[in-house]
Parts: sequence; structure tokens; C-alpha cells
Amino acid sequence: MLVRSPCPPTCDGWEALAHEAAAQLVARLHLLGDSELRRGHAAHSDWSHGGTRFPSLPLVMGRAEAQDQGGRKWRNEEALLPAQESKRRDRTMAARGRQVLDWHRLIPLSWASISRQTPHFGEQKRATASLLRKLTTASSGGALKGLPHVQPRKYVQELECGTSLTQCLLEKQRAPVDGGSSAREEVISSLLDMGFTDVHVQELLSIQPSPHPQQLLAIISKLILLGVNPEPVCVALKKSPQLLKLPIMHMEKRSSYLRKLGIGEGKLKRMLYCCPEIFTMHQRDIDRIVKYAYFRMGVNHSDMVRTDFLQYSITKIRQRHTFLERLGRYQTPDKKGQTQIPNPLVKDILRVSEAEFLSKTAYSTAEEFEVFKKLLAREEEEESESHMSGDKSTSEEEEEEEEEEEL
Amino acid sequence: MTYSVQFGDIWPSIRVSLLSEQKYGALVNNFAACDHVSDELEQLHARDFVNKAHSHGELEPESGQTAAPSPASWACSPNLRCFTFTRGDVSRFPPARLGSLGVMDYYLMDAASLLPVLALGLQPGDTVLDLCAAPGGKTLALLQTGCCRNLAANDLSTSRTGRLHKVLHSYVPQDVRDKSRVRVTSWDGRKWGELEGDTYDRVLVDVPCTTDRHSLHEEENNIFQRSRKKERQMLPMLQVQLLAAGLLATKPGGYVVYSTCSLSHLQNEYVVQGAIELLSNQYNIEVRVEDLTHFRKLFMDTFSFFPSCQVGELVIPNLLANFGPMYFCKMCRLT
Repeated sequence: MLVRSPCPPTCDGWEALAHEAAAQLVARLHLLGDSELRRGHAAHSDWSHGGTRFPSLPLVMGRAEAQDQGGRKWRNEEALLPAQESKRRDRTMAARGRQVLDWHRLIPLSWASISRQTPHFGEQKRATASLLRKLTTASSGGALKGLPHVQPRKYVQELECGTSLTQCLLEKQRAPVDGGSSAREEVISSLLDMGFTDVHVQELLSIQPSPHPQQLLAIISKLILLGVNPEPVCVALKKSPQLLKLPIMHMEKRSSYLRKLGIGEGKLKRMLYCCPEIFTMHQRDIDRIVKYAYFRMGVNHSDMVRTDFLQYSITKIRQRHTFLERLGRYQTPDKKGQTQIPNPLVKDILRVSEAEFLSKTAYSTAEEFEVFKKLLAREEEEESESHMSGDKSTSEEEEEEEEEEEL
Repeated sequence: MTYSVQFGDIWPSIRVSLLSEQKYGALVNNFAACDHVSDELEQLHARDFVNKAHSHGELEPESGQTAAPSPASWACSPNLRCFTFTRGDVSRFPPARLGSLGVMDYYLMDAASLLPVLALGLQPGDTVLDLCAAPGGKTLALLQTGCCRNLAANDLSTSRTGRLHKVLHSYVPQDVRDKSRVRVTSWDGRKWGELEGDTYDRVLVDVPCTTDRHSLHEEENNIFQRSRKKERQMLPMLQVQLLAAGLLATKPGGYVVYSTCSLSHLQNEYVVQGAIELLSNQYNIEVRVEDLTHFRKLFMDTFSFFPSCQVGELVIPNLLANFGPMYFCKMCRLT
């Protein structure tokens, strides 16, 4: 039940908009009030000019988006962070280009990258120091048991596969001959150095399904470097052991992306605990939430971060927001960021329990909301079906966008 | 907007329902002669709301009446069976199929559309006029009652009369159409006072209106098109003229039901009051509005009614019973 305008709207003001608008939109204006009229068009084109209202988002999403005219769509996640992408490519290219790497030269590079990432907490310094110690020990080849004399070329190969330096070095600690126990000891020692207590270490090592010790260490190190303290790391990993299955590269990418969204340090710790899915979920799904909040709800970037928007599922967000919108209790702000009614706060929509949402924000009943959820689910199902069965000119991005419109 | 003022606190629940998928009823085609249709529909967990209303009515006799015949004013038109899913059930009916005798087994419509026909209270042998008949759902229902000695079905628009023909052909066997002397015309409904004054026992005036729900979802033929702005503004006047014509075409003692699918009291109560006034002032004809309170109570379990109509009844959309909007008012021409 989409409101589709046969022609794209002009941007000259609401009189002009009504002039050109499809009859059903005019019907909405007359029968329901203004909000449907605005919202029906907002997702298509007005918000690509959204730089005026929500200046921070285009910085995250890439400059190209802010300048788009005429309702161009969301890019796929690769292009979302063009600056970061090109840096990464450069690094890999440079690494490939070199035939022989001086192992010792790598150390300052890694130290530099670690210090950049490290916040200035006491424990972090200790963790960093211990990692650095690992690096220097590795280079001298002394402290590691059974490690054969490494050739520089091996390190080049490691780099070529694009893994972080930390991981490379940790992998170097792999004991090639007697397997398990010495690797485990290394891990234990590393963890203790990072500031974990004996109890923590026991707990971490007994998480099931148990990952490879190096994987465990890699993930934990990453979290420490992100500024999460040992106790919360332990709690989070016990609660969500699936985090330990993540490839370290994915962790890198994801945490970097989250930081770009403004979620780092203290926030990250909270997210890690309450909604570890932000690490495991597909980036496309994060984008979907961000996009929905921004375009459909007019929630600006900093509010998104402040209200921990990402902890909510897109389903819940859509259900509650669309319900309010159709009730006439939520309006998508216009280009000037204005609405005719004061919109309920994000926390009163999403953070509260369903019962409280219904009684204090929606002023509706559980029965009606249940029916509404079923109807909405069916609408969305039919929307995506009709797109898959070939809306000729519809690009993949439009599919994503259309899913978010109601009628 | 005016609706939020008109409806106040209940407007949000109406609004969300208007913007969400509506609910349908399956009007059983008596001419398809298949009893298994009812069984099939019941297997889907749908129920005949008309039957439910009648048994509901029997449980609560009005003011001590026992075996007294139901007053003509609130007797329902007979032989109508219409299935709906229960409150809160969002199931959909499968599309109608061709039954035996070459006609379709049921007709999917907004169940609230049946109420004006039920309220009209047809009796066997009635001469009936459906003044704005297209696209034909209510016309079909009138025929289903089996009461029509004559049925005149008219709609100004020839394209819409085409749809009416199609409905009749798909649902009503030729012999029944002949027997009921169904006559389809495309004349101007406003002229009926002159054309066939004082002729009909029962008249249905289901006027063109802003078709609120339809206008929010469909682009095609939308009355809110820029090109139809004037037409839209003239609607209340047109509606008064059509209702007046319908009243003039009624025999003294006969009944008229006026109906719209709009929420606007400018198209509903105002029109009823305007037409009655017009008939009184210009023609010296007295018209009495019939009280449909009892009728409304029969159907309260299935539909959501607006409690504060000055005259007539209004079915308002509600997520649990997403039928309507449907306004209807019954009148008796006294003189």
C-alpha cells in the first residue's frame, strides 16, 4: 500500500508540492492532515538535501550522498566509507609491493598504530605495553618456545593476506611442534598482562564453544584496544560467546565503522554488553537502521548515538514508529526540521516496554497493536515480493528504501 | 484537519485503520445454489455476521414484545448471508470461484456496505430503486434478498454502469434477472423525481462521495485530482439533490436509505437534514428519520459504530474491525 507519486516532487514549497502531487497525496492532505504528505515524499528526495538539517551524517556516509540530487539512493556499504577503504587498499598494495621486509622496521609501525587506537586509561597503557613486549620479544625470537627462525618473507606473506599486524604476531606465537599447551600458556600470560585476573582468565578459557586460543586472544586484544576494560570484556564474552567466532578483520572493520558513527569507548562497552549483535550483524542491517532513523524519523546523528539507537531491532523500530505515524502521533520533520506536533522522544518510543509505549506514547491498546503488527508484516512481505518479481528500473538500493515506506 | 476535530480522541484509531489494510466480507451468492460455500467459509473460521446479529437480536427482545411482528422500520432485509473473520483476525478470503450454474460463489466487499441494504428492510414484492448503483455490490445484495419485484439500477457514469453489468452477469443467472425485472440505466439521478415520482417502495441512495479510504490508496479515478477539485467542492449539493430525487421517487409510506463511504458530516448528516428541509420547503413533503438504534445494537459485535451521529449511523474503521467508513440513514416518506 505505497503512496507512489507518478512524478518526482518539486522542492519549491508545499503549495507547489500539492500542485504537482498525486491525487491520493492531496487526499491525505485533506483527510488526514499534513504529515502523510510530507512523509510520502521525504524518503524519495528531500532528505538527500538533508545536509542542512543533519550535517553530521553526510560525513559518515560519504560526501557523495550529501550532494545527491533527485532522490539518489543509498550506496552499498563498501562505498559508505570511501576514505577508509582507499587507505586500506593502499596499505595492502604497499605491502605486496615489497619483496623483503625488515622485521625490525615493522615494530615502530605497529607501535604507532596501536598507540593511535589506544585511549589513555591506565589499564590500557598496561595492555599496550604488554603487547609491545610481545612484539619485541617476537622479533628477538628469544622468549617463544620452539619457534623456528623466521624468515622475513613469511611476514610479507602474512601481511599480504591483509590481517592486522597484531594478529600476525600473535599467530607467530603458534607453537608448531607440541601444539596446545604452550599456546595456552602464552594466552594466559598475555591475558594476565592485559589486566585480567586469574578468575577472568579461567572464565574466558572455559567459554564454550571454545575458540582457538589465538582467536580468543585476538578478539580480546581488540576489545581491550577499543577501550573496554577487562571486567566488562569478560562479562560480555561470557554472555555472548558468538563474538569469539568473529574473524579479527571483521572486528577491525566493524569497530572502525562504529567509531565513525560516533560509537566508541564508553558507548562501545555498553553496546557490547546490551547488544552484541552490533558486532555480529551484517553491516547492511546497521545501515538500514541508521537510514530509517534519519530519513523516516528525522532522528539526527548525534541523537542516534545518544539514545543507543542501534540496540533496537529494525522490526521493533518500524513497528512502533509506523504505528505512531499512522495514528498521527509522529510526524517526519520537514526540510526545516519542523513538525506540527511535538514528536514523542526516542526513549518513549523504543526504550520503554510495550505496555508503557501503548499507554503513555501511543494511547492505544495491546489488541490493536497486535493486529497492526500482523498487517505491517504482511505489507512488508508483499512489498519485497513485488520488488523481487521485477520492478524493472528498481535498483537494489531502492528495494531497501521501499521496504521502509508504508503506503 | 476537520476529522480530528470532528472525532476527537477516537480519530487516531480511525486514522491508523484507514491507512492499513481493510477487512472484507464474503457475501454468499444465493443464486450459485451451493450450500457448501457456507461450510467452506466456516472452515476458514469466518462467520456469517448477519446470522450472528439475528440470534443476538433474539436473545434481547425489545420492551416486552414477544411474538409481535418486527416493526417495519427495523426489520432487516432477508436472505443475506455475509461471512467475516472475527475481531482481530486478519485472514484474507481466497478469491471467489465460479460455482455451479455458471455464476460466482461469493462476492467480496466491505462488509459494512451490506448494512444500508439490511437497514432498508426489503419485503417480498417490493419495487426497488438503486439510484447510484455502480459498481454494483449493494445492487447485488438487493437482488440476493429475493424480494425485488422490480429493480431499477441507475448510475450516471456509463463506464461504471459497465462494471455494474459485469457484476450482474457474473453473479445473477439470466432468468433471475428477468424475473426481477432488473433495468439498468445511465441517467442523471437528480431527475428521478420528475422521471418516476412516487413510484418505489424502497429506494437506496448510495451517493458519490470522497470515498475516503479509496482516495488514500488509489490514484486511479481519485476525486482529489486537481481536475476534479470543483466537482469535489460541489459534492454536498449534488448529494442533497440526489437524496431529494430519491425521496421524490418514493411512494408515500415508502422507505429510503441514504449512504456514503465518507466520514465527513458535511456529506452525511448535513445532507440528510438538507434534503429533508428541501422536501419540506419546496414540495411540502414530510419525511421522518428512522431510529436505527436497535439495528445498530444487532451489529455492534462485528462493527465499530460512532456513538455521536445526530442522525443515522456511522461505521468507523478500527484495527480490530477494519470495515467502513460507512454512513447510512433511513427515512420514511410520510406524505
